[in-house]
Amino acid sequence: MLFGELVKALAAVEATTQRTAMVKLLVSLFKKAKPEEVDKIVYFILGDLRPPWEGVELGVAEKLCLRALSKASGVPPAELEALYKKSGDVGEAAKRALSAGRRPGLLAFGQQRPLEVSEVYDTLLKIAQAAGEGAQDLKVSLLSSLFARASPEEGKYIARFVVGKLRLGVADMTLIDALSEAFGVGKEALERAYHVYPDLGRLARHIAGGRPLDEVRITPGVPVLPMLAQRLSSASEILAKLDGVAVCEYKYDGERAQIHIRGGSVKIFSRRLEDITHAYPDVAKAVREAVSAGEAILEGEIVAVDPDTGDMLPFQELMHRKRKHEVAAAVEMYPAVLHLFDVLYVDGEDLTAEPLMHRRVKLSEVVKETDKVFIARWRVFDNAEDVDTFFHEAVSLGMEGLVCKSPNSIYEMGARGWNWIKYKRDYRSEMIDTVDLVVVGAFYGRGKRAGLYGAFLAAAYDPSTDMFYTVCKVGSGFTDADLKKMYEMLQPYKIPHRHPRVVSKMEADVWFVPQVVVEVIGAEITLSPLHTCCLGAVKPEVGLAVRFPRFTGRYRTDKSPEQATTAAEMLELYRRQKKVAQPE
Amino acid sequence: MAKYILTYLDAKEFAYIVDSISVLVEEASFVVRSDGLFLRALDSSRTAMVDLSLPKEAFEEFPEVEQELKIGMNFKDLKKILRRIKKGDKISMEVEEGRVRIKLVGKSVRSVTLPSVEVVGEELPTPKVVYTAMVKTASDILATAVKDADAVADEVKFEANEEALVIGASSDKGEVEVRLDRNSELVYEFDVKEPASARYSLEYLLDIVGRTSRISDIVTIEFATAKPLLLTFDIPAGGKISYFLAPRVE
Repeated sequence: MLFGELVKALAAVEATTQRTAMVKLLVSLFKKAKPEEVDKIVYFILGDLRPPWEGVELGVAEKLCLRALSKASGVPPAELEALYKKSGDVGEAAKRALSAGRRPGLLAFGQQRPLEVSEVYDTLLKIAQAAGEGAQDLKVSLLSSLFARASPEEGKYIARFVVGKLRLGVADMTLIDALSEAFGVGKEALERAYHVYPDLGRLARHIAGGRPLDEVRITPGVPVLPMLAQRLSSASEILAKLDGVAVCEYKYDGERAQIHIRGGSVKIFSRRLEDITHAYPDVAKAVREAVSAGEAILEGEIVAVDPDTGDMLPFQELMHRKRKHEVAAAVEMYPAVLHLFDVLYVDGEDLTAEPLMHRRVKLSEVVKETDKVFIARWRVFDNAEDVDTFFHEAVSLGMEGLVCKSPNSIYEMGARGWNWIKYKRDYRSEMIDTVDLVVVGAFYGRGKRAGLYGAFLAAAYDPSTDMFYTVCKVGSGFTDADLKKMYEMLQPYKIPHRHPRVVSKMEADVWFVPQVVVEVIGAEITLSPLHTCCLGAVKPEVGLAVRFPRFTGRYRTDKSPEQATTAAEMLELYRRQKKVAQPE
Repeated sequence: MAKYILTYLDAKEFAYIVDSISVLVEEASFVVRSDGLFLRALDSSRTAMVDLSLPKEAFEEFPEVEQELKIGMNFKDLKKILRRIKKGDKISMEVEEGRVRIKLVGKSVRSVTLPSVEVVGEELPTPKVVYTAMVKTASDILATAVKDADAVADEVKFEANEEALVIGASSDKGEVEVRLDRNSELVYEFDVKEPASARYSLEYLLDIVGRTSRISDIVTIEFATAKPLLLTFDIPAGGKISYFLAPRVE
């Protein structure tokens, strides 16, 4: 097919305001194309040369595009720059420049063969693949050879495509409609295939070649569209939706990851199907060691942890992994662990149609937990109170909440249905002030903190009972010097059992006489079944806790333990917290 | 990859050819086909193209190739090496995986090995032009006319009618003109189907005629109104080197 024909169709698509008209235009376009061109047309329309997980990028910015354009059109760079600034659209600038024809290039003479769709696509792919020394010049030269042969209108679309601003507004679903009609296949069948193999170019070529869609199977190395969850904010509503029984999992605050194992190689795909393996070399290695299958597709959440305490860190800390040249340093400073929650495929066996409970069993069979790879913590409940308690535990430990799933549900690729329901709060609170807490116990440190304490059990004081009630386990915020100092400070108060004035549900490694007071700040004060402060005051069986607690660096040696923050003050702080709406 | 050897008898002439190509491009690929050595390259502003063909017979030694063999060369580097040629030398190119050994054979054998470079190949079709004017003349005449034009302007005008070819230029610095009557002694062929007039930038033309007049005494000039200029120089040992130049238009 001539590229000009594609461009004509694209211009018509752009001009239409109706989706049905858009689909019709696309149908007639696909019908005119040869089977081996259909994929290229689809990729061109979508604005990406290859599916997202292949990470093929043109690497052509506006500047480079204008350089190529200047070369091809003879319009000087400065003039072209002005043209571009005026319209703000590289495409429009290209069109103008190519129709100016002020100094026609030599090749403009005689009958030039018009551009074919395949030639344009293949040249663009070459541009994307150009790498190493001289890549920029090569890109310019290839691109200008395209512009030199393009009509002004063709040049407009080429320019927009290369700078990533094609913006036809044709979504995957529109293309699915058009393709199913053009090649006479069922829309549902095509959609299903798309969920399993979300590469529309490849699928288009498949059906254009007359091959049946049931050949399209889940394939290690090709990410499937992930199953998504609905959201509710009360346990009883969730149980009602799930017919009374819910498989509840911690909803870790990390990056959702689809992990594909093939022999020795591991690939990690994001929720948006991008290959993010390069950001998580440590996770890839750890998962290969933890999974016994030769081939597998697993799903989990990658979470950043504090290298000193092993505590979960908020999602933002994973962003350090996104800068390519900083990955190695980020692996050191922000190690990541993986919490697996599903398995879709193991050694030739497609598990997506198996019920959740069956997949969970399979998951425990193929995964041997290590210090970096875990199976996401989960429980099965049939009453709202238990779900709530589990929810509060999760939130106080830094989770976003729970994901509650129907035990018999299959893995519905690409679907956001009621078989998976997120249980999240609508708001997040903000702790408004620091608290002064009494150290009542400690946990041995690991790694750099070996031989010292790695974290401390901290408590508030209740004058009405003259007892100390735990509110958090705090390990963050202590420097190496702090840890040494804490060890020495606490040495005289070490006792072989929990102090009788301390109320705790947690078992510490070491117990102390309540004496040392430290200042702590946190993200918020949450409900927690793990801590005893104000137990039952807000909800039965649930106390208050500091979420993401951190030592501020201030030792309150001026305060006696009885002058520490009181339980009543904690409750007051909890109630007075600023509530912030929680984004989806 | 096997080794391919091309030997050209007159190294000096080969050096002139390389020099003439380097006027337009820094990098280009020689293409070895079963019938000879070819090169076609476009300058970066896409207004000038060089087209070389040397038949296999022009070589003392020429390899058998089953398919096209491309030898990407950096002409700046190649030119530097060829400056060291002595009169009477012959030249060999030995092409092996990724490199080219240039051997200059005279009283002694000197050789230099160059990496072959990856040259972006774009298909370069021959500009399809109906040339309405054709004049074959001495290359000196053209070189002089172009140099004269350079004294006053940055472009040169070619005009032809049934009687003569006029090469001239004008600006506020002055006016120059070289007139070649069809019956002039130095006009070997003259064929003007209809009057033609076109202007061309001197940017490359000056260098082209300067270098190529060393290769060939005779040049064939072809052009048409507002169409490209085609200059063809025959190479004594066989083959030819041609240049296409885009016209200047308003």
